[in-house]
Amino acid sequence: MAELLSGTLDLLVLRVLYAGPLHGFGIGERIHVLSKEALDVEEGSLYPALYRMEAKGWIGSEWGQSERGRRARLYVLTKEGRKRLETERENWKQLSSAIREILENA
Amino acid sequence: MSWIRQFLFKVWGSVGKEGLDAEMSEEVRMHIELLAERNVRNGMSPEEALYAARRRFGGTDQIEEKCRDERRLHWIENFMRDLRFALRGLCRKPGFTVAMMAILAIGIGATSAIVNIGRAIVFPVIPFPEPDRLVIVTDSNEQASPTPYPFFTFSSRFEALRETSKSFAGLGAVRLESMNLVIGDTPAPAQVNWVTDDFLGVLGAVAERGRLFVPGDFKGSSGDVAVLDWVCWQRRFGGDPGIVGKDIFLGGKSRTVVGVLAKAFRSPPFFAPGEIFLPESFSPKSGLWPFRWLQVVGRLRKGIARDTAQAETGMFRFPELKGQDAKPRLVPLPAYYGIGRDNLFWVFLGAVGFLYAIACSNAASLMLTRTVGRRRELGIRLAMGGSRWQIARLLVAESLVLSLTGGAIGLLLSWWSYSAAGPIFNLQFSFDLAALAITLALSVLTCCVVVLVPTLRLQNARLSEVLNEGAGSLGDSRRLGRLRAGFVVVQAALAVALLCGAGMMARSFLRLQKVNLGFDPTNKVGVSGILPENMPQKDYLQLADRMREVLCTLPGVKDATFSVVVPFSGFAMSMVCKIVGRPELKDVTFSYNKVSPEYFSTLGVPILAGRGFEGMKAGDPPVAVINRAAARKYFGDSSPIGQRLDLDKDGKWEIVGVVGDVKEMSRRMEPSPQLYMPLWQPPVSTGLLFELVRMAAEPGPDFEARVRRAAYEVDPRMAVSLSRLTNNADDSIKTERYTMVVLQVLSALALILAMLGIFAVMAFAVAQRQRELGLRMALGAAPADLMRSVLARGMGLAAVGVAVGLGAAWGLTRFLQSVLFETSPHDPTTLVAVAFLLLAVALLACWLPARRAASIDPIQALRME
Repeated sequence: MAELLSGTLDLLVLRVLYAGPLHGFGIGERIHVLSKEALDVEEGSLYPALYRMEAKGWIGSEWGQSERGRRARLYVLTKEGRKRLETERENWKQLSSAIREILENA
Repeated sequence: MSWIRQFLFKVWGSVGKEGLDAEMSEEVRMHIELLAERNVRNGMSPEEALYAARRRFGGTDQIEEKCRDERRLHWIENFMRDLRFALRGLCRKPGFTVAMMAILAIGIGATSAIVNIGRAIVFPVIPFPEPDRLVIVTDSNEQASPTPYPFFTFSSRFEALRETSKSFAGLGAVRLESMNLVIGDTPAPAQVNWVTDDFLGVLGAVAERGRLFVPGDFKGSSGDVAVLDWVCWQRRFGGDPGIVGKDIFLGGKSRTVVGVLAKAFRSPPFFAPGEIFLPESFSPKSGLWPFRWLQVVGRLRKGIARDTAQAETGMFRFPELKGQDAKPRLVPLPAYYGIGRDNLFWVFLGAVGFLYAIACSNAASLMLTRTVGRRRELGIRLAMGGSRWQIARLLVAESLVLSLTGGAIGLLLSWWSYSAAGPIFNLQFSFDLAALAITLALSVLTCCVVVLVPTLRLQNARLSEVLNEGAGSLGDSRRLGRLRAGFVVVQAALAVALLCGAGMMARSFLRLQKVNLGFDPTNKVGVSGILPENMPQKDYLQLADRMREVLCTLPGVKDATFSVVVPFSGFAMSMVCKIVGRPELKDVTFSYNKVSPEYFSTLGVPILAGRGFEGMKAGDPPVAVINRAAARKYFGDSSPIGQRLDLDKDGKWEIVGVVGDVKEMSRRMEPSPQLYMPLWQPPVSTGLLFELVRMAAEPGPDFEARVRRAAYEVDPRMAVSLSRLTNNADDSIKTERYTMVVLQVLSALALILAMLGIFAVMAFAVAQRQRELGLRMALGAAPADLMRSVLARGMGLAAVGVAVGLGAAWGLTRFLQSVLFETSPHDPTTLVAVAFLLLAVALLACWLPARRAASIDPIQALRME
């Protein structure tokens, strides 16, 4: 199970929420599944990150129904969050290609 | 703008904490349930699944706390906690809390009041649109004054100016006349303003009801239509909604009300305020007699500077007035707001500054005492890991609570003071956000000042020292004692300086009150009647005589006399003439009065040489009586009797008598050369009628109505008002009385605060020295010795304070010089009296602590700790 690079959690959460509202557990699950079970988000970092992003206005939250009729807090991507997702994605592309350059040509 | 939302979000996270915490717990619980369900799906037993889920999730409390950190503002929560803590602490010490609040309320209230008055003086509220374009046009001969009294003589001058000047968008004149307004069948004098067509427009007046004047109203007007002031409409007509179109009976004729002015309308300062406005059309015949007393205000054209307009207006020369070549001056209207009291304002500001300093040092001293009393508690806090910053924050919160509450109370105090200050400073005060902001700022400033000292002391307190130091140990307390002694000295000194100022004012006021006026105002009433213009001279003289006779028949009246000038009514006249055979004197000036023969006996003015006007009648050769000041100034040692005055076209008058000096305008001024002439002697002015009445006692409440009714019977066109000469004479020193009262109140507060300050310091010192005093007593010191030592310490401090304060007063009271009357700013009696007063108060303040020191039980004192 790979450790998550610091700073990438925000990007992943934003990307996952881009597909639609989800509750905290669902976000962790989705990341886990989409990464082909390579990534496992710890609850201890997920929730503080969610609250931080909410405070920054990138995501909003509301209470709604989860898939099995359970009352759950759902997180939604805001307009500002979408913008943020774009910049984070660009940053990540630049960063990863830079790292690849170093690893392959050094 | 996202930081604002983020901020609000965090504020909400801090304030609405409970609800959010519950939501968070629910979220966590659900997450764990979902984890457990997944585990069950993967084949665990329910218990095992839940346990595994919990283990995986980790410490829920820590996670929740981390989450909370993300969504709240620490400093708000910390601040709220400090505030709650401070409130709890203050509630535990109600004595300290109340004392602090009272001290701060006095300090902040007085200061914010005076700062607001200052604000109103510097930025007065001028109730006219575009006030910068408004100028007062005056031909007053007070050329030197920046704000000469706004009057303008001659309607002909005004007309000429209005027709030829290019600088004005509008030029309006107003003339006051008193008329009888008859409502029902009761006559009452009403102040009527005759206004030219531009007057109301220049001031930007609007109508509340009906309309203002239209050009047609002015053509050959005799005032058939009238506009009412809002106050007049309310007071006299009860706000009658149907007033427009109604007829009122004013000045012997019926006039139609066409409109009511808006509530906000005010006459410019120093203009004769009118209740009823009538359209003026100047008759072609104008001249010195009957004199026209106009007040003129102009609105400059857009883009015309006052200097340009002044240069243009200054070209006018008016030959009518001999010896007075005053050219019209344009004075900016805003200059008239808040004038004439600047001196007074600075005196008050200084006095209040002293009071504020006393209050702050008192509060700081109390705060210091409290902090020192709590040093154990604070030391423990430090030992348990509280930072100095946290403790300082607690002190700030405490003092902020105190100074804000004090400020709020002070705001109420200052509010109350505006109603008193308004008329004195001739200003309108508005209680607005700025006033609130000033008080708030002062409160915060005060808070900073008050906690500064205790916090600084905290900075250099070493932890071990604080914890080790018992109530009785000295060392550090000595330095502390010096600091507090310094506070006492400062407070005493400031109080002494203030008291000296107040004392000088009181002495000066007493002297002003005792000034010999040259007549006795008691039991005398001035009756002034304003008559229609253009009354024939014969009728006027008959009316004056008839009026005098009627007044003499009223019950309680001993005597009545005609006199154009009623002393201290604010009205006086002056004339210029030559003395026959004394060409070297050129033009001599007299303030003059036209009187009937009874004047000197009725008013009690002594005839020093020659005779008065007894037994004279109309048609006798012209004569004059002068006062002693005139005789001295113009005739020196030679007798003026038989000398003659040359009045050009009014003939040559023989001086037949010399009488005592009468103060007519001001108690301060030396009497000017005065001249009396019989009322029938030309030139006769017919617009005004004044009678003076001497009564057996001060007039009763129904006297005025009686006089009015009698006057109405004599001539219904005459509007009569009464004034008591004692009131007039008192009013002339209104400002001085007010200054004195304000300074007395401020210095009394200062004295009380200083007394409290001395008491607190001495009581605290005795409490701290309890062990030492007990030890001394155990070693054989007599209680009286201990008492003496405490008294000596307190009185020593007070004496130093008195010395410093007297020094300060010596330097500062000279700023009072301009308001003092025949009193030296270094008046020794006042200085000595104040010194004794303060020492006596200090003795009083030290007495209780000294008694306490003397009654210490040595056993108990030693057993302490």
